[in-house]
Amino acid sequence: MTLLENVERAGAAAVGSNPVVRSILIAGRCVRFEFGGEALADCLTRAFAHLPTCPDASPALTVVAWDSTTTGAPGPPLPPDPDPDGPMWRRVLVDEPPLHAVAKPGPGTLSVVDRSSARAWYWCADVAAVPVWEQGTPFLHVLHHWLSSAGMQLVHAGAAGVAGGGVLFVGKSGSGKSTSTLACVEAGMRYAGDDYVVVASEPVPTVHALYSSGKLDPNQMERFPELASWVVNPEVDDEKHVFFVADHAPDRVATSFELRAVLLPRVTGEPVTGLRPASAAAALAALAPSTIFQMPGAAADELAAIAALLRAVPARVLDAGTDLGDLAAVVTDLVMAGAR
Amino acid sequence: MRGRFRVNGPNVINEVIDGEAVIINLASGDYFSLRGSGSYIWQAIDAGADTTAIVDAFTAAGLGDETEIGGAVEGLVAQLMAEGLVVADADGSSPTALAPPDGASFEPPALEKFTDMQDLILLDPVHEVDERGWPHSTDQH
Repeated sequence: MTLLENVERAGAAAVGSNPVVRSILIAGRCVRFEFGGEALADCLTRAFAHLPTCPDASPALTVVAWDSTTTGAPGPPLPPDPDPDGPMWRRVLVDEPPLHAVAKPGPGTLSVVDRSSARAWYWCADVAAVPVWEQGTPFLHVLHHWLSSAGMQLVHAGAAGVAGGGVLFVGKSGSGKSTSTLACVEAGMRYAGDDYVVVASEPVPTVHALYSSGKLDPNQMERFPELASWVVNPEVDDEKHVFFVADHAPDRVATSFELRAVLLPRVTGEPVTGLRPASAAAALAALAPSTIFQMPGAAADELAAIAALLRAVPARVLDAGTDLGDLAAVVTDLVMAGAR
Repeated sequence: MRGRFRVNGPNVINEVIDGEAVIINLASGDYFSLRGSGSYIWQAIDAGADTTAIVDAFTAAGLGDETEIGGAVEGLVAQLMAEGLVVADADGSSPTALAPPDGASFEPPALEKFTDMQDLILLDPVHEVDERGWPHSTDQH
C-alpha cells in the first residue's frame, strides 16, 4: 500500500464516524478539522483562536488528526527514514505534487496533504507529548502546501499593523525580525504573526494572520514585560518561550490587513529607529530563501509568487533602535502614510 | 570559458527583480545575487545565448574592449559553473535577438554569495530538538 492509502485507512479507523469537528476560516477559506478527541482538538486549535469559525458543509480543506494514546489506534506505517543524518526538525517523505508528506522526528509527528482531494492528515503518538512550540504553529506543512494551490503563499516573516494596514518584517533569525514584530505587539499594534504568515498579491497585497502565537527568547523577557506575562512555558530555559496573544488580547490579533511595506530590520544599537529605501531584490533575498528552505515544496513557483508580491509593495530597511516604543511609532507612521 | 550554457534546473531557481538576479541553489543551500552586467549575462544565458553573443552584445553597444569583456564573461561563467548554477549546453538553441545591455561602460560582474541558509537547514527554527528518533506509533514503543 502507498503512504496515502496507509494514512487514509489509519485516519479513518482512528477518528471514526463521530470526530470532534472544528471548522475554522483560515486565510479566508474554510478548513474542517476532524479530530480523534477533544484534547487534541484543543491542543492544535489554540493558535487559531483569533480566527472565525465557518460552516463546515463544504470545506476547502479537510484535515483528519489523531494521536495514538487517545484513540488507541496506531499511526500509519512509515516509509524508511529518507535522510537519517538530516535535520531533526523535519524530513520530507514525499514531495510529488499534489502529494506531500513531512515527518518531524523530534516531536514525532506526521503530516500528509493531498491537494488533489483537498484532504490532509496529521498524526502524533501522544497528545500529551506535543511540544508547546508545535501547538503554537500547528499544521504548518499541511497549510503551506494547501495554501500555495489557492494562490497564496505561507512565508517566513513577522507581520504587524494598524487598522489601515500593516507591514511584513523579513530576514533570517537574528536580523531583528522577531524583535521588531514583538515591539509592535507590545506597543498595542495589531499582530499577525512573528514567524509564519500568509501573503497574497491579488487583488491587493494582503497579509493573513495564521497563528496568534509568538515566541520570546528567554533573554528577551525583560524587554517585553506584557508578552512575558503571557508565556505558557516559563519553566523552560533551553528553548523559546511561547505565548498566545488571542488568549489575553484578542482585539490585538488581526485576521488580515493590506500590506503597505516590507521591512528589512537591521539592529543598530542606537536608540532611535529609522527607515531608508531597500531594493526589491534585497527583500526577495531576505524572504525567499528562508521560506523555501524551511518549507520545501514547489520552490520555483514559490519564488515567483514572493517576487510578484515584492514587485507590488515597497521595501525599506528598518534601522531598528533600542527604544522599542519608538520603533513601533515609526512603523505606525509608515503604515498610516500609506507606504504603497 | 566559452560556449553555450543553461541554468542548472530544477535545483537552481531564480528571479530577476528590478534588474537584479536572485539565484537559489536548492541542492547546496546557497543563494546568490547578480547586479548590472552580471544580471545581464545571467539573463542572456537563461535565454539561450552563447558567450560569444553575450560579449558581442556588450561590444556592439560600445561599452568596452572585447578582450576585457570576454575575460570578464568567461570568468563569471566559470564561477557559475563552480557553484553548480549553470552547466554546458552545447545542443541548446540561440535566442532570436539579445537586447542591448544598459549602461555607459562595462562594469565587471560580481557574483555575491550567501551561505547563511546552512544554519537554517540544519537547525530547528524554534529550538534544537533532542534526539528522539524517527516517529513511531505507540505499538512500536
